[in-house]
Amino acid sequence: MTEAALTDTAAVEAAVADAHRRDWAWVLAATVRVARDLDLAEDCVQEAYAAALRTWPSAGIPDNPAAWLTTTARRRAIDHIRRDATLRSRLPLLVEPAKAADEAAAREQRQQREHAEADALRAVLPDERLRLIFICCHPALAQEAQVALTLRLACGVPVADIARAFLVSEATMAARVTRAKRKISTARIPYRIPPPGELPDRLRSALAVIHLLFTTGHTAPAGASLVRPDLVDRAMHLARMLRELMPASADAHGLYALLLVTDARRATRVDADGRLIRLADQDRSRWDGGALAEAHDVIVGCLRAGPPGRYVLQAAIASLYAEAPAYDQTDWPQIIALYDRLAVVWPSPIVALNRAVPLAMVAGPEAALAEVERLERDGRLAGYQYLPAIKADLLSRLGRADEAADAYRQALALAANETERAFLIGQLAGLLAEVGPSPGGQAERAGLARTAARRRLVTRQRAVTRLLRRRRHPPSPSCGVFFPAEGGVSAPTADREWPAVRYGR
Amino acid sequence: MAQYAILIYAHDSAHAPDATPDDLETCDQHSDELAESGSMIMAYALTPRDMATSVRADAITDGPFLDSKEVVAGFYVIEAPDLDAALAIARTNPVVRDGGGVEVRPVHSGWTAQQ
Repeated sequence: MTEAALTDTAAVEAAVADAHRRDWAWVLAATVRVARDLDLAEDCVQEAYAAALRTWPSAGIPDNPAAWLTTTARRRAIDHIRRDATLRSRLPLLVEPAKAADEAAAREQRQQREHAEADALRAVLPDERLRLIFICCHPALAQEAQVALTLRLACGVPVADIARAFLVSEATMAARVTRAKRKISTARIPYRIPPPGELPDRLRSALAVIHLLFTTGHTAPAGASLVRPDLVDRAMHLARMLRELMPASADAHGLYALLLVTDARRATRVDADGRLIRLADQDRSRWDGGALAEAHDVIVGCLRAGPPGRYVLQAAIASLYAEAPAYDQTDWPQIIALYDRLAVVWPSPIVALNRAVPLAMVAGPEAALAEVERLERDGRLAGYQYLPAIKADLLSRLGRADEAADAYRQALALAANETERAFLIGQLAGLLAEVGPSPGGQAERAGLARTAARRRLVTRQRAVTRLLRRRRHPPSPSCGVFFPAEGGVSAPTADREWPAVRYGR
Repeated sequence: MAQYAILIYAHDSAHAPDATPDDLETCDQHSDELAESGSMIMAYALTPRDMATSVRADAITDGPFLDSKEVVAGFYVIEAPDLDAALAIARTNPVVRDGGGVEVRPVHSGWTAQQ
């Protein structure tokens, strides 16, 4: 094999991978229109990508790979439908084979024609990706099925990889996807963009799927590593796509901004050994300034456009956290004011819980603790590990070490991500050391180390099941910004009046 | 077009044996609207839960099959082009605004005797 041929193969593989990441949804959506069947369309698109890998090394990479793939996939779908019809009618058509001498010339001509055709197609075809997203995120499907379908159909992620991302067996994930597709066809879930009256509800469900995908990747529900970059990247891609397809939706912009801000801190959330770093201790110079600036512009645009929705407000809060030159220079009163607005548009106990963190900075840990205890009595956050974790942090700052240790133990019993567990174990061990040596404490410290190692092996599967169930609570609004491990509270400042809602640098 | 069965879930059925026209007004009105629109194929209102009898292999018991807050108070079958259209029709049922809800199920097949 020559060196040029080798380079070609690598270039083709890169081009196909690139087209897969960027254009899968577009190609599939355009093919569904012809195939009128999700499964058939999916198979044909898969085949088209395989055909690209086979033929591009000799035929060359087309100028417009997405158009080439679309033509190929649509042609396959049409062939398939014809073949099907033919089989049914039992009238096989005999095609006369082309003469060998003409073949080369014919092939050359065909290729040129196909290239031109493909480019024209891309220009003419309406963008059908929105239909694809809305059918994947239809509320008649269970949310875990919505997530799986979105990854499979809108991102082209193989079922085996989706299964790995959600820590279930491939057979389980395949069954989930198949069941969802069967419901789509049996119950006749329509492949269309919802009419204006239904659009806000339907968009909310699509945004929730993308957000859940992101939070699952941002703080993995279980397992050894904190972040699953593949899921985060897919969610970013989808958020960008939805924003581009629905430019009039402030929430679509808001979600995109929220993901940008949150992900801008990816590099600094854990240290070189994979240990969690508090927001207060993260190296702000390593945050993605470009992403933060882009998010800022999007947020300002949304706030100017009208009353902000849930995602815009969450993005504004996360952005304010990120924009402070140092953690203790964060604009706490404004963050609280934004939380108050958020609680109006999204009255969730999680919002109230996260508000306790800036509240402790402004009104002191005692006031924040009272709020957290009120939420504890409320009961809706039972099983939500960040409640005892925040409570533990506040108690520890108030010098109530024994109670803080108890709260850390509660949080540990609920947390399933090993990185978060390691952080909580570290906090608890620190507290126990502070309280002073006691025979019980010594044994517990040793026990904590053993538990951490054992749990890693045993509970991965169980933890995911539990998390999926627990996701009935909306995912943590800031994707970790408010986790006390990162956004821990420090010295209280004097009580003061909050200004009206504003946002800006 | 496809057929969907809509099961009405309510605390109890309004169709008691001695129900007055007043008791049934909202139900009847909705039923008339659906019949007029041409989307409803058939409908049955059931008597209250006290009238129900459940049969299992080992026993016959008084009351609905499932011991829950809501019972099936009635059901009807509609024709709609797709699930969204069926859901839109189902949502107009007055029980939805009255603490209950409806379940929409695609029909596989059915049969009724000619009367």
